[in-house]
Amino acid sequence: MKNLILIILTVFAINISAKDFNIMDFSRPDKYGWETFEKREKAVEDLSERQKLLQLYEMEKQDIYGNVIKSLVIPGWGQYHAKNYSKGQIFLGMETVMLLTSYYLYQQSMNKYDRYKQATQIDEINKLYDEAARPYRFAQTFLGAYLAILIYNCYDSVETTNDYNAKVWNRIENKSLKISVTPTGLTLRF
Amino acid sequence: MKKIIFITAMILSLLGCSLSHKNPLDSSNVEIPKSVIGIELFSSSPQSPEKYVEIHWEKLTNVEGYYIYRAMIFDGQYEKIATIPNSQGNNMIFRDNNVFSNNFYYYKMSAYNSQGLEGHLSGFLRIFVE
Repeated sequence: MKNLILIILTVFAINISAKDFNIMDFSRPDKYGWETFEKREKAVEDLSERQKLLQLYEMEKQDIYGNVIKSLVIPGWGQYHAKNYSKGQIFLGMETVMLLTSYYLYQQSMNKYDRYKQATQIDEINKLYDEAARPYRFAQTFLGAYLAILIYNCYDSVETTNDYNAKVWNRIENKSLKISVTPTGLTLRF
Repeated sequence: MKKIIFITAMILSLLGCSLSHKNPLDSSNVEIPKSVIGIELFSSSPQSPEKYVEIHWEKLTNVEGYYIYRAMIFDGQYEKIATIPNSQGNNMIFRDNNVFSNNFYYYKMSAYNSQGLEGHLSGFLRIFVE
């Protein structure tokens, strides 16, 4: 009986031949949802392409905080740097007018105030104080407006930089219009 | 919304700051001298070779002295022509000899106290020197 089993096994062993090693079978491309190895290769290529785009974007995009600091130093500089020249000019113009007007009124006020401090006649004291206080109040109003615009200017430089960065990304993406393969199917990028 | 509140608060705090009353005479502790009352003007007679204007007024208490101002037109620049101490007796008189005939002269007066604060100016008085 033992001999019979040994003979049968020997016959079957002779008929079994070793298959050629195939990497495609071995790697199982369908493991993560990829139907074929080629499709997976394409997706990897597409990912690599996206990484290159991202690198280009990182090189060209602008730093938001850097632009905010620029706008704080010189109003409108952040917008100007983000290529929004008209906004930058408007902010610079408005802030210059506000600051110069405030300074002019402050100087006028201080001239009267110095005279007020020297005055000895009650009518003159009252008159000079009123004449000094009025431009001082206007100077403060213009200074307040300057500060309010400066704050808005910083806020706007964030928005402008975001817009600029979005445009940069769109431009880089548009340069490489292509159909890509993803695990869920085909994607057409514009 | 928070930004708007912050900006508004900042502007309002800026507007809230006003000039301080730094003049030592501009204080509630300093008593303002009374206005000069009873001012009368007299001019020299037309025949008199010496031309003058004489000013009479009532003596005030708690004042250190009086200032006399003069101008050639009523709303012109009034120039201080004399400082009269209050200690010269009960008859308050000042004679302005620096006048010429055929001219109108306008006078104003005020009193000042020991702290140097000058009170309200009187209304102007006009006189013609013949």
